[in-house]
Amino acid sequence: MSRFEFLFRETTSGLRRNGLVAFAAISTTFIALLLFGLSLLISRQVSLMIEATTGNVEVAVYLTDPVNPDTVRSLSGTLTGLPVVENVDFESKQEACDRFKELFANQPALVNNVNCDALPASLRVKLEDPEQYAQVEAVLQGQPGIDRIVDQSAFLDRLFAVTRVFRVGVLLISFVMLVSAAILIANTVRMGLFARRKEIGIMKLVGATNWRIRTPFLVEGLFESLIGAAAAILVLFGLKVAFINPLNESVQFVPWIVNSDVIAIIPWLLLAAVVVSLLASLAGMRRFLDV
Amino acid sequence: MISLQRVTKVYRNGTTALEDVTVEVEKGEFVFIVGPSGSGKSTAIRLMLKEEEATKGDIYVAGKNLAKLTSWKVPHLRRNIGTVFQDFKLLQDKTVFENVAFALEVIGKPKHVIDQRVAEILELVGLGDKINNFPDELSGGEQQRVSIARACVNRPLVLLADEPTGNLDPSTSVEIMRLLDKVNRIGTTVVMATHDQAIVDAMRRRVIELDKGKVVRDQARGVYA
Repeated sequence: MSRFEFLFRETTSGLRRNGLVAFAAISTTFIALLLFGLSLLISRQVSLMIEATTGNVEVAVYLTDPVNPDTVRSLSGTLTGLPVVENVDFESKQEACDRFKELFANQPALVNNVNCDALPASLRVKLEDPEQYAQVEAVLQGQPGIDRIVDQSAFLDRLFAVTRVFRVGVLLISFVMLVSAAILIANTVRMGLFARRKEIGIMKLVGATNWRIRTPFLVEGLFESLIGAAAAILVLFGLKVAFINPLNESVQFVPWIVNSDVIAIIPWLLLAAVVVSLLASLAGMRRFLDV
Repeated sequence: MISLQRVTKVYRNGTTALEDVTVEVEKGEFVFIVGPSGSGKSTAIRLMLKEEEATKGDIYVAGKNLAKLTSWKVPHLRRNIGTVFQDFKLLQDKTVFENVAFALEVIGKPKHVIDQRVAEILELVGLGDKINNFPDELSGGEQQRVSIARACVNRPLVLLADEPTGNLDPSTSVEIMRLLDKVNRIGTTVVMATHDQAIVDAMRRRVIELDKGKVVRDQARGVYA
C-alpha cells in the first residue's frame, strides 16, 4: 500500500515537474503510433480489396462464344489434373454479368452502357503456386474454345508493388517518429533525474536499491507512452468512423475494414508503446545511476 | 565494526587522498577524524560508504569486505550506516516528518513502522513539536537534528558524520554534539570528521589525526592538537 502510494506520488510529481517535455514525448508517441496503426490498417484494407477484386483467382481462362458444355468439362478436367492447380470454377456469361454489375453498382452509367452479351464466360483457376502459371498456359495452348488466358498474378504483383510503396513509406515514417518519441522519453527521464538528483543522492545514501530509484522513472516513461498509445487508438477509431464509414455507404463493391480490424491492431500498438518507453527510459537513466 | 587496513586512495587525477592508512574502530566507539582541509577526512568517509573504492588495501564495515561487495549489495550496506553532512541534505519540499520518513519509504518499510519510528526518533532529537514544519522554517541546528534523525531512524550500526557542525555556531554545535553523544550511548558507533577544535577538546574522545593522507596520531581521549 505505502509502496504503491510512494510510486504514484513520485510518478505524478515527475510528470508535473517537466510537463512541457512530457507533452512533447506524449504527442510524438501519439503520432508515431498513429502512423504505425495506419500502416497496419492499410495493409489490412489492401488485402481485403485484393480478395474482393480478384476473388483470389490467379488465372482467368476466357472462352469463345458460344460456350460448349463439353469444352468446359474437358478443359476443367485437364486443369484439375494438373498438380499446381488448386481448384477450377466455371463462371457463365450471366454470372460474369452479375459480378460486373455488383462491382460497379455505384456507377450506373457504366452498367447501363455495357451489353452483358459482351462479357465472356470464363474458367477461374486458383493455383497452389502462382509462380507456376506457365504450366497452365502450356497445357491449354492450342485447345479449342479458348479466347484468351489472363494471368492475374501479374496484376496482383503490380497492385502489391504500388501498395507496398505506400505501406512501407508510412511504416518508415512511423519508425522515425517512434525513434524521436524514444529520444524525447529518454530526455524527460533524464531531466527528471536531474531535477531530482538531490533526492536520488539521499536515496542512495539511505540504501535505496537502484531499482527502487529507477522504477518511478520507468513508470513515468511508460505512462507517457501509454497516453500516446491511447490517443492514437482513439484517433484511429475516429478516422475509421470519419472516412471508412461514409465509403462503406457509397462504395459498396469494396469490403472496407471494420471495427474489429481496428481492435485487432491495439495489442501491437500497446506492445510498441511499452517496448519503446522501457528502452528509452533505461537508456535515459543509464549513466545517472551508477552506485 | 570498521577496519581500514593499509588503505591507499589515489584519485584519477593523480591526487593521493589517503596513503597506507590503518585504522580499527570497535563497536560502540566514538571517533573523531581530524586534520586540515584536504587531509583525507572526507575521502575516508566516502570509502566507508563505498561511494569510492580504495586503490589499495582492505576496508571492512559491519563485517563486510567492501572491495568484494557487489554493487547491488551496496544499498544493503548503506542501510546499516547513517550519514550526516555539513549541508544537512534535506529536501526543501518535504516536511520534517516526510524528510525522515523518506529514508524508510525508499527502503520499503511498511507505513505503520514508518509512522512509529519517525515519531520516536523525532522525539529523541527534540523535534517532536516541529514535525510538520518545512526545513526553511527551522534553524540550522534544528535542520541538522532532522538530518541526524533521518540518519538514525533505520537504527544503523554506524553513524558517519562529515563536518556536522561546520555550518553551525558554537553553542548550536554543542547541542548537536550532545545529540551525537546520545546516539553513541544507545550503542551506535560514531565516526565524525571535523576540524572544530573546541568540540574535539571538549568531548575528549578518541582522535585520529590525518595529515596529507597519512595517520599521524591515534589517541584515546585525545584533543585536537
